[in-house]
Amino acid sequence: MTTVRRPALLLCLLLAATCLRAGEQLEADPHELLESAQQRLSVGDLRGCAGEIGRLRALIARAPQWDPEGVFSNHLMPPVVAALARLEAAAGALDEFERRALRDLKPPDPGHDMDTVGDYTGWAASVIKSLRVERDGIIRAALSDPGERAILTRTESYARTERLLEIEVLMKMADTAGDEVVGLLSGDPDIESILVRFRQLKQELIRVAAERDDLRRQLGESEEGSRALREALDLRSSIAPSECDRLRSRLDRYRRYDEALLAAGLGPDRSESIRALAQAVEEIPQSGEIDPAPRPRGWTLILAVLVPAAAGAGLVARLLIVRRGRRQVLRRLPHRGRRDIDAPIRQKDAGRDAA
Amino acid sequence: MKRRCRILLFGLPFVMAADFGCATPPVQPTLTLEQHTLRIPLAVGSDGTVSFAERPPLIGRIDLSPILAAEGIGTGAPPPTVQIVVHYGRLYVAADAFAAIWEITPRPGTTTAAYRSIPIAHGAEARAMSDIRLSRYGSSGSSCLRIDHASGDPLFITARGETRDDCP
Repeated sequence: MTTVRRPALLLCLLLAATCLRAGEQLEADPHELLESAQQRLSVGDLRGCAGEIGRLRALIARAPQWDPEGVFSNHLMPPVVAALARLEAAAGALDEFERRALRDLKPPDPGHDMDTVGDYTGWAASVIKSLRVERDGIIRAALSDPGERAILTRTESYARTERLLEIEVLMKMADTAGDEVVGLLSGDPDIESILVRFRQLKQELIRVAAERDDLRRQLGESEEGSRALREALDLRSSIAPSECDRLRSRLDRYRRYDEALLAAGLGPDRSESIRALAQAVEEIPQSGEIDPAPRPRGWTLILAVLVPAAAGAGLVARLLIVRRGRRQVLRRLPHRGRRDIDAPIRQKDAGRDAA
Repeated sequence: MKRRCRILLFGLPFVMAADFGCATPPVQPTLTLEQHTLRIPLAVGSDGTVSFAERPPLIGRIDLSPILAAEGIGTGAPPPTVQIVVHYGRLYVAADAFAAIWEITPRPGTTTAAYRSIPIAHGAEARAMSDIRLSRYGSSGSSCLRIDHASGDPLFITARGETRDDCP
């Protein structure tokens, strides 16, 4: 019984000591609150500074003895409050600038041929340059003191405008024209520093483009095989039930590959062709007596080539999708400064990710 | 004639003494002066001095060696950080390592100052002082130096240098 009570007693003593220690903490005095407000202001924490100023005002209102002659109220606090108000106004102007800039960003009409790369380069450079000039003009107009301008560059609002200039413009363009355009942009010194981030991506994009070309070639072969298969099926007068099941199974796989490729945005829609093949298979009368082994099976050979080709294309497509998904995830990582990390996934992206 | 001269000889000093005695001494004009500062944290150097130049626009230095010695802080010990408040022209020095507040009264025109200790805690609590903080407190014209510390109620030092539990 004693052994049970001792830990409980020790725990109570520890809690009591903790409470007593917490009670010993002195309430912040005006000097501390003012110093804290000034320190927060200097690092661009405008909200924290406003909070400390509020606490200081409340303390002085509750106990005016803390401020004999109104030194804090009339002499020490007003400069901080005035600087805070100027910085808040400037930060608000930057927020409004960012919202307006994002709303008005209109990249050129997307065209995926190489001829438009120059247009995108010019557009990105001019937009970033004009936005930067406008942003700096807003700061100059709002703040005349270089020290306060320096403080403003440490605020969240300024950081958002930096993200706008470094990332959002290019992201908007990438969303409109495709990632490849961002990777191909180069040559303008104004955006050279930004494009360094995308140069590594460019090499990967070239490799992915080559893989996509290969995939398209395989899909073309698949299309030719599909056409040949339909012709071969039309020549058949009967089919064994086991062969029919096998054909259905392969057509089903072919359909699923096609759906996956279509969802990934790769290749044309072949559902009509597959449906025609399925219909051709169903229209062949089944005959249980016929032994399929000795008969010529040109269509079977074609299907045997067609389905693995489609499967191979599917694997390549899957690789492409995984890489694209990885790029999208990297793009949304916090270090890239994306604010919309929790934003709902667009329908197009959702389909790709699901595929 | 001889008698008149004798009266004049003995009476003149009395008359002159009476004249000088009734004269009012020269009056030195005065003006209102309140000299305070906010709390000034200063690091004590290895030689026991603190330099106001750490916190411009004040400059100058105070040799706190006698106070450190009185507090039992030897030369080998790490020098503490003190806080100084000027209150009605007197300087008050406090530190967590101290058992008392130290009042320094400058002597204008010299490089010396008088000093005395103002005990905050007594007996067993004498070394228990921590989180000490000096502030000005009170009303306009009669403020006090407020001493907050974690081990007890706040104390107040009046403009006359008296220690009280409240600020009149």
